[in-house]
Amino acid sequence: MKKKLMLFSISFLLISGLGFAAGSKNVYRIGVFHSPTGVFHPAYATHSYDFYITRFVFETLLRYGPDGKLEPNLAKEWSASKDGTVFTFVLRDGIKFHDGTPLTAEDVKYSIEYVGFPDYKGARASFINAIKGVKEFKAGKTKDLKGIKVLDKNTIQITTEKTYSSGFLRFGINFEIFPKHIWEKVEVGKAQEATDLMRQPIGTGPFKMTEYVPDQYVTFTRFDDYWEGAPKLDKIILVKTNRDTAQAQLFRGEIDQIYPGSIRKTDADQFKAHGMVISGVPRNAYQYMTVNLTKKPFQDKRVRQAIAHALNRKGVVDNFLEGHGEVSHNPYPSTFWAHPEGMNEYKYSRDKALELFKTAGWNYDAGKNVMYLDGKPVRFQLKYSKGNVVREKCAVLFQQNLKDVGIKIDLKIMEFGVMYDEVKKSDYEIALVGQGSENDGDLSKFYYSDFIKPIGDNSGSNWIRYKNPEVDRLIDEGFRTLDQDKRQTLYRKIGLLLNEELPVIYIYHWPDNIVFTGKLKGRTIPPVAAYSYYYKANKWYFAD
Amino acid sequence: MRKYLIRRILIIIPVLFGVSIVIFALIHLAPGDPYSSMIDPNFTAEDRRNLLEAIGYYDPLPVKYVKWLGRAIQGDLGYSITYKEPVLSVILRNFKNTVVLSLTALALSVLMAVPIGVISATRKNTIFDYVVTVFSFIGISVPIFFLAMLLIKFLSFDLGLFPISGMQTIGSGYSGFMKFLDFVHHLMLPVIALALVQMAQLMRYTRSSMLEVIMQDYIRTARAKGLKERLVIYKHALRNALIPVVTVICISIGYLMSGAVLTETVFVWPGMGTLVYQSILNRDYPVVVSCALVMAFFILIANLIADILYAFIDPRIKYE
Amino acid sequence: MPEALLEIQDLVTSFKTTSGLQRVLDGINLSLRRGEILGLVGESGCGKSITSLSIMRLLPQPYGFIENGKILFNDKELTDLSIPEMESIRGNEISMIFQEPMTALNPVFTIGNQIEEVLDIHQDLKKRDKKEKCIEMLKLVGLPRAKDVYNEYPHQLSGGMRQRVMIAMALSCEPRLLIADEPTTALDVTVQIQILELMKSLQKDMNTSILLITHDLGVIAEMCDRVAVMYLGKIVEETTTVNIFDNPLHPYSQGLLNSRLGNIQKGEKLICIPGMVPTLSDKPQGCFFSPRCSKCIDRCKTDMPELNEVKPGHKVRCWLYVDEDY
Repeated sequence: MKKKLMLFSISFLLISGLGFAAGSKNVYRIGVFHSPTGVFHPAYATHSYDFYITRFVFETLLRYGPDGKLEPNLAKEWSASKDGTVFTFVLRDGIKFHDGTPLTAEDVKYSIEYVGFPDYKGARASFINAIKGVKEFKAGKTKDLKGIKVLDKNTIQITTEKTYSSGFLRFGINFEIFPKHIWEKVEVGKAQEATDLMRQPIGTGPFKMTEYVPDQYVTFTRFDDYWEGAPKLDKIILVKTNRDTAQAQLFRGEIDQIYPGSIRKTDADQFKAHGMVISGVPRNAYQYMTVNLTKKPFQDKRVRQAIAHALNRKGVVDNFLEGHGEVSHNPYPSTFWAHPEGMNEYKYSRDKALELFKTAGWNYDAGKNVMYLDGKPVRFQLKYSKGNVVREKCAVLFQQNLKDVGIKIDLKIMEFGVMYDEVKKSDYEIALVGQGSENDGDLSKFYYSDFIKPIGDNSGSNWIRYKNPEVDRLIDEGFRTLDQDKRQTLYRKIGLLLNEELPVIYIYHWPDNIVFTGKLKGRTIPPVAAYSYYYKANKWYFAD
Repeated sequence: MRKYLIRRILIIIPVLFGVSIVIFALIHLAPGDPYSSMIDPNFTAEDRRNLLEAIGYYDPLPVKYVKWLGRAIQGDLGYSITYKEPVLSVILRNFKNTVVLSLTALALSVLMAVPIGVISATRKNTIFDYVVTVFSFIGISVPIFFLAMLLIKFLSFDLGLFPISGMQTIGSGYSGFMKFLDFVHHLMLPVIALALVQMAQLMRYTRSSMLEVIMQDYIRTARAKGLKERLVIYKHALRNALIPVVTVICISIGYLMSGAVLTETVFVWPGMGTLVYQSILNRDYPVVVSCALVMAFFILIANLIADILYAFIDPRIKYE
Repeated sequence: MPEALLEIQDLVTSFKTTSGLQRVLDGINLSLRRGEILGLVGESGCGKSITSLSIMRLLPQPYGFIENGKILFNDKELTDLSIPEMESIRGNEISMIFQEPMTALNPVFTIGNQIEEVLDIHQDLKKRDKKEKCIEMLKLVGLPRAKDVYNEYPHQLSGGMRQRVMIAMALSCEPRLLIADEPTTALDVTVQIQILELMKSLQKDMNTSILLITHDLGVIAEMCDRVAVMYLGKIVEETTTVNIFDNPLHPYSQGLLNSRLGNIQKGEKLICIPGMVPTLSDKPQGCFFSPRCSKCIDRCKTDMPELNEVKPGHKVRCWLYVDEDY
């Protein structure tokens, strides 16, 4: 009995020791809080955690560079016709897939038109809607999409119906290229049942996926024939971790990187003390308070401006984000190229708020601290969702801020999907939501009046139901030109208009934080969140 | 007894049927759908509609149920919307992990709780008994995720005796026996957390069952026969005291098959608990319904086995 | 005169309670001869059962303990014995049967198993002999299907049958003393008589002495050679059965006899002893019975009388029978 105990204790200690030595030299481990679901096909992935895989194993024609601008990736050159309807991409030579097959323009054509096959049942059917011949192709009348032409082994040309200002973004960034010779063998309608094939993705990226254990980890191993040079690291592993213990794992060396969400100063100090690098990647998104524009009280812009003055938005950034973020006055963060100058900052001022409410015809009773509208005390319900700690704190703060101007707020916390659904149907009074924008600056999805659907219909992308003919006009102009400078002027104008009109009350922009071990060298992170996490991963190495 | 057994087994079918209807209705009637959390601006409403059509979302509820039932009867539990994998394979994978975790924790807690409960009863109101009672109350009151975090903080983070989470050391390349040891190493902390909480309940239950039995007349008779006190307790009393305890353990096995979501979450041990929880959040309908069926099935079976066991160990019980 | 098998001298048994020490037995004196049946009678709560538990040293732990006194059994001082020594006496030289046969047997073991257990503890028999002896005992106590009962469980037997089993178990090692604590109280009247008959015949065959505890005077009349009357932890009268019925001396004994139902005619008022038995913590000054005694004199209220032999073979604890000058 004693002998068995001894044997057990020795193996135990051995393993404890080994366990930590096994952070072996050339393996980089990234902790993630949700597990990828195993849909590792660019045309079918819908969960953001699957994008961690598809945007790593597969590559796009272009990518964002360290200056935030588009730079060559699989394509070495790209150009468009003057009228913005013909887009041409020239591929590099010598790019191989992970199975050794060379990449050609045929693969590019296949990857783009795939979402138009009549039997395609994925989420990206709308991505190709601008291309010529798409209707016939989707209806099954043509065998392939005529608007995409393979000019030669390395050159591909895409023709659109009208001027397509988002052309480079859409074709260069939104389509990861996957191998035709593998997927043309699978019936499109049944592709999602090809689970094994899905989970052995063959792409062109610097690392190939070699192991997927659902809900636990995903292993990527170096691809020595990578076109930009063989990686220095042996493996990169995505490890499922628990948000509460991830930091501990980081400090103990069980993992090398996490995406911690918002960071507090105490966290930041701890990270630095343990030799971690904190990188805040700008994100083209904003958190905002939406007030239901279909309801009469909110249709007066003075009311919305008053609310903006009443809310302590700077306090949110200073206290909840501890400086990791900035106050928002319009959809574009200061790091974005379309960010306008000279905006109204709607500084936190109770007096200014009360003044504006008064001009809008609301009556404030200072003695009772109650705001009256049409003789009734003002009271609204604020919906928000679980899961974002800062936003939850904002809800409570804003409740207090509005109470200070006599407005009673009832908080309602809900599951995100349910809340989002109600809000899109216009079934709400006030809500707190976050929104991401297109990286080409186009705000049409959210503010263009054509995208409004009737109340109760949750399918319109402009679900705040904002209608401004001037904004519509500027957006239309933006559609019609590929000239970056012209577009910058136009979008800046839109930014200023939205800042004045406040269809929603903009609260803050925030960076995507990445925290990783200082031992990793050779890493550059372009300032475009979600598209830059693996930038030139083949150059990463451990300093030792 | 045989008629009883057959009756009980046959009843499982209508119960599972009922469970399937109720759970199916509840999860489909919940607001939201599998794609309602898709906020990426690139995806349009048209895209979402295509996805929902592909999974038959727009069929009326009874039609959905009949379609599902038709396939389920033939053994086809459908495809997971989240994983794009057959439901059965998803469940089996998670179920295996739950079984290992739960049964090990149960074994540990029984091995510790029953003897301690018995000794505690025989030494009522001594220091030993008081310490055990305090410990039980702590175990019953402390939320398990808090306990788990404490264990991780002290045993993993500070002392480095155990890994913080996961089922294996990532990137280690272990195989064979080393891999097994590594797995056991990762299993220990979650098992300890679960076992401590289960132990608390079981200890008190054993103790009170034992106390009740020791009061009985036949214990006095045993002593009057000149039986050594040790045998009075461990033969006459224990045998009776364990009857309800054994059945309680048996029934709890049924519930354990449903997983322990908090423990599994903290320790990143993908089991039935996390699967059910995530599937409900993701509105992964086929998985939710199938999980409910699996859980119901095991609870029914465990109850049946408990009843049969009861009849075996208590001669007073007889089934018609 | 046949020698005393059991002699209890000034036995004081107390209980530790939350309200202090309670004296349940307040100086008990008893003697029991070989081959005799001694009845111990009294109302509920007077300490009859505690007397028997004290002899067996089976007082509830850790509350009960023998504070003082001697219990001499067969030349052994029981209060001095160690636990293992006591264990070898229980079930072997002194056996006990209890009031509730329904709960006195372990429900999960067979009858045979439980009887054989006694044999295992005290005797060294081979398996076959054990079984034979067991079945023999079952036959002896009047169970016709002895072989079947051997394999049955307690819940399959009636109350009367279970009590027979208890008797079989108690007598299987041929004890010198059998303590029977209200063995028939919980049984039907018809079954009562059978059990009593059985006990009497077995006693004669084995020459076992019996300490028969009861509150039923009818049982005393039927079974006992001598009888002791207990009140509030003290023996108040001790004599032969004939004497106690013909000539009860102590007012309490008289009261007990008068309250029997047998002598009452229809329409007459029931006679009972006025008042209630005091609690242990409220024991009266002087003679315990004085507050309820119709013949109480002044002295009774201040002094406790001794148990004196006022006639040959007749002891009583009462001032009425004490000629003393003050």
